[in-house]
Amino acid sequence: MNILLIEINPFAPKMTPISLGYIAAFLESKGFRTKILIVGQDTSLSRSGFHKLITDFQPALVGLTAYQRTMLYVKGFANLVKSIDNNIKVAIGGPQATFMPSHAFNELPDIDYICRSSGEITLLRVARAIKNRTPFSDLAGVSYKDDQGAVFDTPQIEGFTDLDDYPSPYLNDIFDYSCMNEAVMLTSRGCPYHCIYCYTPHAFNHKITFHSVDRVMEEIRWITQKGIKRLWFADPNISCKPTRLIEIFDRILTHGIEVKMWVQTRVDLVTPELMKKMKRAGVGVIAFGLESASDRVLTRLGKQINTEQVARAIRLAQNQCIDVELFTLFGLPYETFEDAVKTLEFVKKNNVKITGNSNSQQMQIYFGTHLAKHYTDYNIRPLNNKQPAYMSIGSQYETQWFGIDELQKIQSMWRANSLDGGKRIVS
Amino acid sequence: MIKPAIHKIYVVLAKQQNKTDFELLCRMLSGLFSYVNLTSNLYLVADSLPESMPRVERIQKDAGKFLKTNLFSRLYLHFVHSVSPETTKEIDYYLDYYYQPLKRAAGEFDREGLIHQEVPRLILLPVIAPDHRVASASLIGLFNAVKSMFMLPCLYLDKTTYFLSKDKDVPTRAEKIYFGNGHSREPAEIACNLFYQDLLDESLSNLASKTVSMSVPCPASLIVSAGDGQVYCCMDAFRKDESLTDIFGKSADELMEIYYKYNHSKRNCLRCRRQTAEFFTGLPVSETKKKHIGKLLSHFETSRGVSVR
Repeated sequence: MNILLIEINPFAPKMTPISLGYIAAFLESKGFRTKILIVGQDTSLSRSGFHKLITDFQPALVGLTAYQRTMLYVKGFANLVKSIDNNIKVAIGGPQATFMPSHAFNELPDIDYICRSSGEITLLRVARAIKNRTPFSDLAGVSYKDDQGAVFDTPQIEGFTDLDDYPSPYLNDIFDYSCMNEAVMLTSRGCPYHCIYCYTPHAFNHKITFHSVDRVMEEIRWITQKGIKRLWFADPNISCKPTRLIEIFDRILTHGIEVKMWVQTRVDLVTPELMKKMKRAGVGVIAFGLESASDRVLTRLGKQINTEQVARAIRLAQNQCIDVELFTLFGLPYETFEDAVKTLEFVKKNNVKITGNSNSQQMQIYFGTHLAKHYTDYNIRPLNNKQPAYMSIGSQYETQWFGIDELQKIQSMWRANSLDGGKRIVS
Repeated sequence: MIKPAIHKIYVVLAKQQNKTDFELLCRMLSGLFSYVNLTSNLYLVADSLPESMPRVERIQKDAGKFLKTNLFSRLYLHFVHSVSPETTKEIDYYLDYYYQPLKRAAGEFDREGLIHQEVPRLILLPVIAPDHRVASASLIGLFNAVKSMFMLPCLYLDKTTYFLSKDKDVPTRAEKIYFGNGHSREPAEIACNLFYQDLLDESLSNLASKTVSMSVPCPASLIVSAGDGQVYCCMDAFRKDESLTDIFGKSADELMEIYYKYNHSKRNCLRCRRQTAEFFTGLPVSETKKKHIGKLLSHFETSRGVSVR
């Protein structure tokens, strides 16, 4: 049985679809044939081309990664799939799907499954059900709409606690290396922290799981042998277990592997020793989450850091000549316009270039976050009460402290200070 | 293997168009939308907007129909036309009778974009080709008015109107400035110059990325001459009148079959890119762009040296 997995991000150049890679490797290991379609800014794809892909590959299941920004694309592709062959089942997964309300099915006529739990295991159950011609039996981790249109929610399922139990998309050659400039690595999943605006801790029940150092090294060796010399670590906090990270860097150095790396972590998870090691091993850029330069706001966000720690971490990196990126947000709860200006000034004062990921953006209120559930407690007022059920509040809100005009004003100020017009890569 | 999608379609509108032929053109374009890239550009190059307005409206309506049923598609619709507004009254006239109706017709995509917290899938970009009588103040007034309607104005300047780029307020208000190096204001000539500028920008971006060879063909495009119905695969073919086929009695599927069968490598794409860069050296582009063009030309020279050896 064939399964087509689609990653849509038409607002950025193509990146390695690491999550779909894991799902594809897992499904392939269970006897399914998979194909990944990446729809990026530079993808050349027409309706007719997509039609041909479906008729040639004949998938029984199409899985689409859903983000707030790509919901129209998801709906469009799902509709085209169904118009080609109504028997093809369509599933959505990813950040927008995990906590999407089940009544969203009413506005998603061409979607059969909304995946809520670990992608690999959830989709395997769906695939097996479809293969057995009982597409809605023995499912878990999904909500589904049956042939009569009735909606059902199934119990959650846990993913593997040892990430090595998932086959590697790299070692199983899921990706096409010929057009890959940079490999995206995911050596850990989840986050144990409690930032109120963030989706990740809730999606992973505040737990974090890891690949072994052996497995990470095996992948790095394989990738570099394929000629890829740049690694982009998507781990939310790469240094959550510092000893593990140091071991990875030590082994990179011992084996003489020459790679350039991008990593992200928390400012309270770096030390001078770690930073030195990072530099020696090839880390060229480190990204930290600042969010706000107001300690009052940071406290309310549950971020558990302060601006002094951020400034210290920046200095540690800059002392090693590692470029720093700072993730910042505006329109945060309890944040005033003056606080937001302070954030911009903080970034400038600390000599962080306002480009790429260091361009600020308005906070987004996504499904599943603490803020999405309790926004009224934070005096957040949604601006649109008629949005479709598959869309969260996102950026359409103002707060008691930050009106829509001020949101636009601070955005313009960031753009005016930006070196690249304000386009952020990671959202 | 998925065949490459068409990224840009340039339609050179005729001054006067036979109704039946125009229907055929619309049918062809509607069919071609299935072959365009998920994000694509459609240029409608007219002489005067008042004369071609019904045709522009009709093509926009057909594009809207396609977008409505294909939610993954996004279209930048550039309507290129001459203007000579000299007074506020004339600017208002343009806004009331031309820009506003076009914008209104795209309203559902603005609403859809708002609901989905995304830029609209149909973006209107008027490309204004002012004549030499237009003062920069009038042009700025027009740009401001167009921007207030959430349209992105672009500017086309030829030898007779280069002086407008010297007023620093003009370039800052235009989304993009296109240049021509002659005096001709014929739609066919303007279409060529728009194409060349897009090709130059693509070559510069290829040079910056260092990953794409300069001999690759230009982004997949079609040029349709509405007057005689001829269809061309690139501007070089259009200049040399080497059409692929015509729109008469053919479906879009048949046209695209011919397009894909046609071997692009038969054309000298590298030479075309080099000539395009040379074309812009004498034009009043920004100093930064001039520097980039210089680097591009030196890249071509080096490549030529390598290939000779």
